[in-house]
Amino acid sequence: MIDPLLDSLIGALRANTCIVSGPMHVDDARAAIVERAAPHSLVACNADVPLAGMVDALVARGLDVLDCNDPEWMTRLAGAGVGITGSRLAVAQPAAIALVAAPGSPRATSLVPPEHICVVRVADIVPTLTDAMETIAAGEMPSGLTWIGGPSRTGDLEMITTLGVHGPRAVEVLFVA
Amino acid sequence: MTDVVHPSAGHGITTPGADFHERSANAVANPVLQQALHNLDRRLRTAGTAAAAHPEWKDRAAAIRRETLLDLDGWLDRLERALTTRGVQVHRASTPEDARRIIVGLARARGARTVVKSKSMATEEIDLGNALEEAGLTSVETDLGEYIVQLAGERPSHMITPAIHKTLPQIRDVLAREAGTDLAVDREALTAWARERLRGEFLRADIGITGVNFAAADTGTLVLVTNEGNGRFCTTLPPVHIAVMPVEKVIPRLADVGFLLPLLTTHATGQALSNYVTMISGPRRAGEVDGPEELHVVFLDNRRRTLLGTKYEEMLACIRCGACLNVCPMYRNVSGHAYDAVYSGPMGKVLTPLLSGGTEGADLPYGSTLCHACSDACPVKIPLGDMILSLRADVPDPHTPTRRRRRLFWTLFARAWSTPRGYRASTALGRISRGRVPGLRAWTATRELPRPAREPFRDRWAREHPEERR
Amino acid sequence: MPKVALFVTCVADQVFPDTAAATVRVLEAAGVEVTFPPLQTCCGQPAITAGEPEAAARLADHHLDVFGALGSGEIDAIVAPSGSCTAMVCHHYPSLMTERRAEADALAARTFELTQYLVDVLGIDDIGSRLDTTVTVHDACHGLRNLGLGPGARRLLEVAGATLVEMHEPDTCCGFGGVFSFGFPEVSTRLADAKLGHAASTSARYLVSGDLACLMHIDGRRRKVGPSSAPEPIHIADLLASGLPSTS
Repeated sequence: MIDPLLDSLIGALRANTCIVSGPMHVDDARAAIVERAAPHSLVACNADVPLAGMVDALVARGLDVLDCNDPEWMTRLAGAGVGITGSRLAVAQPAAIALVAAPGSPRATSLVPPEHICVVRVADIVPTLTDAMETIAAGEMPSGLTWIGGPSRTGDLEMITTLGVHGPRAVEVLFVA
Repeated sequence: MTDVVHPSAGHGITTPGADFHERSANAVANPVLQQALHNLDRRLRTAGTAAAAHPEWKDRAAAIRRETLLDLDGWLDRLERALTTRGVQVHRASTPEDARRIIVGLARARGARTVVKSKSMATEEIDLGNALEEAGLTSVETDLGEYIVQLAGERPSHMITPAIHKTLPQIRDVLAREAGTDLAVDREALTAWARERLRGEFLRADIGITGVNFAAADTGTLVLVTNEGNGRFCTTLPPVHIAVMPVEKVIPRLADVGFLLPLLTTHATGQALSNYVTMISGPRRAGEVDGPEELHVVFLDNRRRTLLGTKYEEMLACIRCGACLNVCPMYRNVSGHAYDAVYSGPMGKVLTPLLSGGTEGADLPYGSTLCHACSDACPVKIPLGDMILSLRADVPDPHTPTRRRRRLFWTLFARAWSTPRGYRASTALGRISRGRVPGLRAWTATRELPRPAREPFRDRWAREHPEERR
Repeated sequence: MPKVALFVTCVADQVFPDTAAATVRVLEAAGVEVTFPPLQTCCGQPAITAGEPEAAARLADHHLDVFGALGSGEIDAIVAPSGSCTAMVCHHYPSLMTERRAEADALAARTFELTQYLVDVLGIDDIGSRLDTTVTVHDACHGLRNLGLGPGARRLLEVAGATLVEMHEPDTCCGFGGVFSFGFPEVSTRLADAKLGHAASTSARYLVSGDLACLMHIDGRRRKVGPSSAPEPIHIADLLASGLPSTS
């Protein structure tokens, strides 16, 4: 089945140096994330990841998963290899994924570790940013809503793009059906 | 090589000079600066292309910005109510001094020692970094380009790419001096060093200070656009976030950012959307572990509201995308420091005299070929070229001796040339002198000047069409 | 037969009368009857760019008196061989002359730049001129951005048989800018050099423009620098007229 919104989003994310995989079944997605995270001993995982048992699967693999209610959370996060989050919705044009701050889903998970894995449900893709803003503004605005289109980058050095300035150098978007 | 950078000399190192003309001449004569400016063409090739597919965005954006200006105070009141409802503390500053006093006061009351800043033209406008340092705080710019400029003791030369005037070896020199060790002339290595250094500053900071790209009055939401993620750090880690918001940043509805944001980013960097857009609607809530516990917004007026109802009102529609700088033949040749002002390029030529009440940048409007490339490039259709032209008449004070002399000259010129007889007499004089009129040296030093023709066209026509003689 | 009053511009009148004569030939070749209102002087643009709108308004008043007096029975349009002077009338007069706004609007509505009049108003792109040469076109700023001139000039040249070679950034300013060229000669000259360099890269024979002020600036720099490979700056009326069959 061809999904033009999904195709457009995948194309634009890849063009913006994101790693894209899926769409896939939730079980495959969980397994894929565990594989991606496995090389890192310490990982962070938000509660909004739409994959039941995600944290258990990471722990089962022997990974240390940060608890955001740990008082030392922020200091420890600086040592995490990857941050895993879900998303509120995604926009096909311009390509961007919306993350909502909430208890259990802090902002820093997608910011501090050098790699960010974001799980997006295909059903959550909307055509335009205007559609997305109307949807979001209709409900209660979260304290922090972050739109992510790709890895942290700068053009400040002779206007040539350099990745991973402050935020993640790598962003992987994983679509689940 | 560190000879180009002397922090003690303050900003404007690349382009010293007493006035805009002298500084622009020095900029053109500076080979290192000219080399750095070649990089600007990269931006030219990309910026605006994505927006070209949506010409209607410009019309909608222009309409929304003007809708806002029609009742700016009303929208600001609505925004303040919405923000206050969300637990945001709103402060109103009518002058840069007010804004500095408010922010330094907030920092002192919280015993703050370190402040991290995300690039913001508004904080440049109020010279906040220096005010914080004078108050004994450490203020660190965290946008990579702005950090480089801060370490060099300079001022941003471009509102989107603050260090556009520097070549990579110059940037290496600035960072290596701060590092106290040698660094390679390598983008990845320099970026990695800055990441490490600034990461420590983010973790340590007591306050994060940012500007605002848009503020939605209906939802009380601050919108911040970045690519590096420093804006996210400044609004995520420090316990206090202070946002400095020039009053014209208010927009009626959050839904409007659906096309205002892509319009801004396509014109700023050529991106369909910047890699990060942060929308903040209040401090962290119960159960959240990051985001600021306290959020303050400072509404900055600084003479902006005096422009309402004047022919310069539309200047308040500006969204600070930098498109007018990128296409400006003057800017592309002299870079930002030649303007000796916070805002450079065409929008700076207009805004600097207006925000200073005519005391600063009065000579900027003359440094324009009036090519109107800026007016064409502007995503919100500000007639920048026309404003630059009319500012020549409106600034500075028309009673200065130079202005009186100029007025006399042109009054006499107009009196002579507004009659066919006066026109004939004066042009005949020009022919007799064979074009050797005093005051032409500025032209003839580098360009030949054609001489007046022996027979003007009107005489030829009369000779060839004797039947038309009246 | 359409009737046109020639708005010659002070620069063409005093410095480049041959271009003014060529403009008349081009218009006549397009089947237009040309008259020359002899009382015209200057549109006032130098004064407005100098920052003296009152002086400019005085000159504008005179221009409006001269051309506004021509009834619609006498002429169909007013045509100038300059996008810049046309822009002064069309773009600036209405806001400059607040007390004669309606007259200024009416004047603006029937004032045209030469190629705009031929191609956009009359719909003529072949005036019978035949050119066997290569050209590159400099888009003069005020025609391009204040008047919104389209591809008319290029069309006229190509239909006449000229080979068009586009230069890099044909729409970037040549650096003239009136008082700017005196007040900021270093940047002004640098822009002229860039324009000459881009034009030279095309290897075209002619650098064509619709504005004498730009051409005066570009050619002034070209002659100062000395022998170069840069194309010869020429007004489009001069080039088109050179390809017309000789009438005498």
